[in-house]
Amino acid sequence: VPGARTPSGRHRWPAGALACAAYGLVLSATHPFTVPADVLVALPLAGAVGLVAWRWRRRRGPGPGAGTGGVGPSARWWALWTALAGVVLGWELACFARAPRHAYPTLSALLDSLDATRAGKTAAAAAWLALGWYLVRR
Amino acid sequence: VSTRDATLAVWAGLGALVVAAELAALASRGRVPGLGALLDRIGSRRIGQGVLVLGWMWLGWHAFAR
Repeated sequence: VPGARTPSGRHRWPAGALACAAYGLVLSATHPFTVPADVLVALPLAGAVGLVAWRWRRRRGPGPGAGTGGVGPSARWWALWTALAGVVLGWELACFARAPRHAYPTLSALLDSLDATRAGKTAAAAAWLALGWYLVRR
Repeated sequence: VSTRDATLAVWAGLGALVVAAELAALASRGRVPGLGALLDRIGSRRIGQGVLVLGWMWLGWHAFAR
């Protein structure tokens, strides 16, 4: 995270974590298929779209990190991550294709189990918002 | 061992593999790419960043709204 290494970035980090936790706490009080849940999830989505569009327009180059040199480690580690992602995806599809869902839980079903408790949903929502911030602020 | 237990065991094993790879990346001090480096690499192009953000949007909507 580029900004995290600067003094201002270091100060922003705890504030960002607090904001994510607060958002998670508020979202955990809602229930899916209700207007409050829709609105609370839609707000960061709209913010992400706006921020990405704004950053893309500001940088008229080939991409957010293009030209920064990329990451250099050996190709076999990239292959390992790719293989791992492939196995996870394959297992997800295998579970998805089978029934009943209780016997073959998918990642969504596991996430639903986590969301079943207030603390779990708070943590999941905070992590989701933090991930979104990480992805759009590049 | 029930089918559910076996399925959950595979998920746990895959999760452990991801955590182990990430720990190896942290311990290598940059020689081994971690998840962050992977996301950075994918997101270094607009198409990659767009796909990542769209995936993130879908995940949030799927998990918390619908």
